Amino acid sequence: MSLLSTRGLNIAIGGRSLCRDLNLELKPGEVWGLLGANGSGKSTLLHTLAGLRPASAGSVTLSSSRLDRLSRRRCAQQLGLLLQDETGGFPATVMETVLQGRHPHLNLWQWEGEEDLALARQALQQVGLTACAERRLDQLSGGERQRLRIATLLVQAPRVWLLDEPTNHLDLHHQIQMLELLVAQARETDGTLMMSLHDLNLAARFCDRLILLFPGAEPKQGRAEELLVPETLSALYSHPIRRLETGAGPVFIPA
Amino acid sequence: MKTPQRLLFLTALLCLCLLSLVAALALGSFNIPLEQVLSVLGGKSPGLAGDVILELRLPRALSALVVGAELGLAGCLMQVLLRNPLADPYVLGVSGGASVGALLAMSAGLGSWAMSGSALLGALVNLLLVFGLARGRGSWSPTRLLLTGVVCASGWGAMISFLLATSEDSSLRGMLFWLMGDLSHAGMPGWELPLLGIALALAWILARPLNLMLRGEQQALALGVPIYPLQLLLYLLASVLTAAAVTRAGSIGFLGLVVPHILRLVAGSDHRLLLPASALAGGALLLLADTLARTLLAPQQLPVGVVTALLGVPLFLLVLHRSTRGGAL
Repeated sequence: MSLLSTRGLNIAIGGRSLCRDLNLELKPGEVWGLLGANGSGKSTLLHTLAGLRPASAGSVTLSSSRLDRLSRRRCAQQLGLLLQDETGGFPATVMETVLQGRHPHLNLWQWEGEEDLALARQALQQVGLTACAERRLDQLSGGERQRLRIATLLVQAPRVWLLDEPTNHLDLHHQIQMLELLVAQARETDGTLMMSLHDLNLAARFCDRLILLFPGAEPKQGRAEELLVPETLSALYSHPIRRLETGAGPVFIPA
Repeated sequence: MKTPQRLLFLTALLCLCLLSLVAALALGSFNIPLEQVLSVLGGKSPGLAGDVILELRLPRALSALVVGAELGLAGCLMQVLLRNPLADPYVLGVSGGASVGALLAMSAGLGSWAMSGSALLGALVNLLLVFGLARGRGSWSPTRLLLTGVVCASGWGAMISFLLATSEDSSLRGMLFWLMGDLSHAGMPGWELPLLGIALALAWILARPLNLMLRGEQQALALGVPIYPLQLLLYLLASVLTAAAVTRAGSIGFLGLVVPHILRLVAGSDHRLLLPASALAGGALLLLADTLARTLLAPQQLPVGVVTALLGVPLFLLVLHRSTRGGAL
């Protein structure tokens, strides 16, 4: 049974249709890549799948319940979304921020206990921010803030992981490390993961399945190795792309 | 802060409230010794001192505590709702509406009951007006709410200037005192006490979602906070608290802006601590300011709003200057 699915999903923004009649099935253990040019609707699709904005038509189902009938809290217990950026006028500390990931699992009266603190410490250690626990958000670099967002998501521990450009601001080492961590977490919990990416090599390395958003045309979905071919990718980005075979797998470079 | 530290911090603020209360009862145009104050509070009322304390100073002191607490709490809630460090309880025009109501009653020569009623009415008109207009035909965002409120406040400001310019000299002094915030006519607080209690309890229950709201709407939604009902509730809570404060004591400035900030600098940004602390610190600060307003130039009384600013500005600048949490604001 699929963890997250859509039926006839239409998404439009400002009167412009981004995706029409999309039927998706995200099954346990699957890692999905979401590829498309700027403005093709990757973030909008992820936000719609997370219930942050309503679809213009069609429905999203989160493990057998209609998403628009679930409370935000119930939804957040099962589904986590990594956002691209957040606005904070009153910066909190790293520890306070990462503990906020426990919010959907605590009831209104409950305070974070030892167990939650242990989860938070573990997540900070996994993303390499243990030393920064008492620092304030505005004293972090862009990459450190991105890893903090990832740590918050780890603490939230959803089964459906939606990641909007998880490699933003990260250096090469951390790109690989964070994606390995997230993919491992999703697989271990028998969950499912979908992430929007700009790096085709990362998509080839981590994703089993892909969904490609073409401007003004039907989205394409399928197995990664079937879609990661020069003709399809060149059409997707309106730029010629070459595929080189190396000992470590295929590599994609813009011509 | 860890839990014992939080409790210690709140206890310290509570003690500050009690100390300011004793000071307010003891000090004035004639000073009453401490043991006499305590025996009056203990139930015995020896003559003149008892009358002065129970009839004059106690109602005014309790009013100051309640109004200060309302303003501190409302300021803290408004800053979360608008996600703006410059927000204060008056930014959305609640005090403007109340002021116009009060000044109209004054220029019509009505008594203090009618004045309070009319101020409350003005505040409620503003509450509905801003909410209705900010909602518009689309959804409402903090920016939209802020713009609508600020523009409405400017409109009220113009009406206040008009009323001041056209009113007779005899009522002008009273009007100016009211506009600067004045507790000299404040009686024993009644319905404000349960209101303050309910508002504080409600806000405190919602403190963890409020912490999340400061990270932005989308992040809060993604972590399971139903943001739109929460914003509506926050708006209503902050507006009603402000309306109650303004109705009792006029528009006392500065307190609601600065108290939450001082506490953020000292105690961090967790609203489970900040909300009760804002109420306690707001009450204590206003009571101290009012005692100073009565005693500094006695027998002449200053409007308390002047003293809150004179006291609050250096305090805030000192805390900001000494703060090691660079960029906390």
